[in-house]
Amino acid sequence: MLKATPHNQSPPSKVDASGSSLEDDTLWRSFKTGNQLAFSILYKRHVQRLYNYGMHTSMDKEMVKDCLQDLFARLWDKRETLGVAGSVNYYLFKSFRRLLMNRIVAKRKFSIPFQGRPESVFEFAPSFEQSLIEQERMTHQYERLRSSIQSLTKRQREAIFLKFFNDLSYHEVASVMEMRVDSVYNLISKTIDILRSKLKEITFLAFFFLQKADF
Amino acid sequence: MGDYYHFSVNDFVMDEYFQAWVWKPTDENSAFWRDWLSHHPDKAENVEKAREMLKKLNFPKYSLSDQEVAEVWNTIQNQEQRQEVAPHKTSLSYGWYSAASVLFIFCAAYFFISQKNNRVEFETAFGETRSILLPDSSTVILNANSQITYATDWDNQSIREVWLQGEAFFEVRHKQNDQPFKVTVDDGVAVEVLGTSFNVYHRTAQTKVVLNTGQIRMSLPNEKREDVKIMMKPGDLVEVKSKKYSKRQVDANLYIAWTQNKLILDYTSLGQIIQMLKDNYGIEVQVERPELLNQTVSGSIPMPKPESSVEQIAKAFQLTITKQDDTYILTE
Repeated sequence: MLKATPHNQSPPSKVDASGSSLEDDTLWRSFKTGNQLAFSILYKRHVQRLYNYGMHTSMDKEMVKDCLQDLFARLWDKRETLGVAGSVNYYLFKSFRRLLMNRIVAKRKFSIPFQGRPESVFEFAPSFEQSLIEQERMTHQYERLRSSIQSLTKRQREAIFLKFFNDLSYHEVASVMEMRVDSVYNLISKTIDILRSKLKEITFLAFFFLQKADF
Repeated sequence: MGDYYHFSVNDFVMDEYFQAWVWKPTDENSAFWRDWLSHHPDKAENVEKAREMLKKLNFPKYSLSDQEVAEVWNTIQNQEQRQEVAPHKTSLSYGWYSAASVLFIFCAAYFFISQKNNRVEFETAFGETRSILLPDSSTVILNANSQITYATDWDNQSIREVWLQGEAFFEVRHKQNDQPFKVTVDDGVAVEVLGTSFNVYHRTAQTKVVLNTGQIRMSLPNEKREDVKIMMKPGDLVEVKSKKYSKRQVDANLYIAWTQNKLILDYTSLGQIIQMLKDNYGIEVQVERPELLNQTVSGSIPMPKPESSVEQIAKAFQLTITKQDDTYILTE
């Protein structure tokens, strides 16, 4: 019997069907060696979150989908040379934001300046998981919350969105938004102040209900 | 973590460990915060305000349907092919350009028509593998020189069915409603599953199915009675040839090594390797003496380019290559 010449490249990175339980980093290493299954698992894991972010940045669904395609096509093309410092999640957000911003800027250049609606949203919706009885009372609060959120700047909303809904650290948010870490921290802190001062009454009201339920 | 005592409501809101407790409570962080609160009851109000703040924060959520997730992915794969073709364009004559555009229109039209019938079809060329997301976001890795067809409206059907020619690896998502998933190859052999991963090979009247995880049921056509059903466990290989089947245990990872652009050999005969080169790359290889076909080899060979893989294989078997027209001939 003959032996094939052993080739001493990277160790074989196995991704089986249970790949869905593997860490991002493991999948990423596998993807870099050309493993399509690992790449598709990463895609499936992150696409909804990036899409959600894209839709908050621009309400143009087709454009957001285009950018997603662009992002993942580029990743595959450059897989061998990609070096990721930090989490995969962060890297995807950073790259995706850059693509989105380029596209938005390009679109603005060619669009008619007079458009009724702002194209960038970053809108909040309250999360009311409470019972139906409470909902009516909450609609009232919802309007109040909504108006307070409208008073926030786009940057404030984006920072909150990235930090609180997308598992990014303060450092990562700073890098994604191309800001300094302490600026992000201050920005978010200020935003919370604004929201809290507007929501003071509501918070107090809810406090009494929740105290009984949760503790 | 002593300084939590001096935390304002804002500080709590912004603290990652605090956020984790509110949004992703675990036994560990819940225990910590309960304990902390029991030692600092005077801080309960601040903590509760911060909790409430975090709970109230929310954005509307936009999401893609499973089908859209699949569509975006499958378009990425199209772009990828176009880009790989791109570098050759400069050397193409105008004739080729027009031929290519006619072909493109033809393909687009075909795609449109098949879309209209709610069916999509993907095909790979020699030497090309591609991953496809199905409408339920199950993954298929289609090996070279293969074809897969499926309906796009699985939600309205009792079964998720795909038709395969060639070879593919499937990673099937289990649906909550237990909708079965079925792979059919053209001689009526079928694999039926709920959610699992397996490899199906069907070329030239031979079918091989290898199960990686989960459990599957294979059915074979039978003129006399009902179809023959075979239950498979992980690591089982079922081989069907001229309506007879055999089952044995194998290392399932060897059979999906191709999904990682590798050829993993485990006492694999030269004859099998030559068949693989023909199946996946359209490469014809002949040997000087037929006895050579029974020699076996073990190890792993990366498969970046088909030509170099012939060289590597020749090296492994200590044979020399000569080329006649499009055929490689291996001699001692």
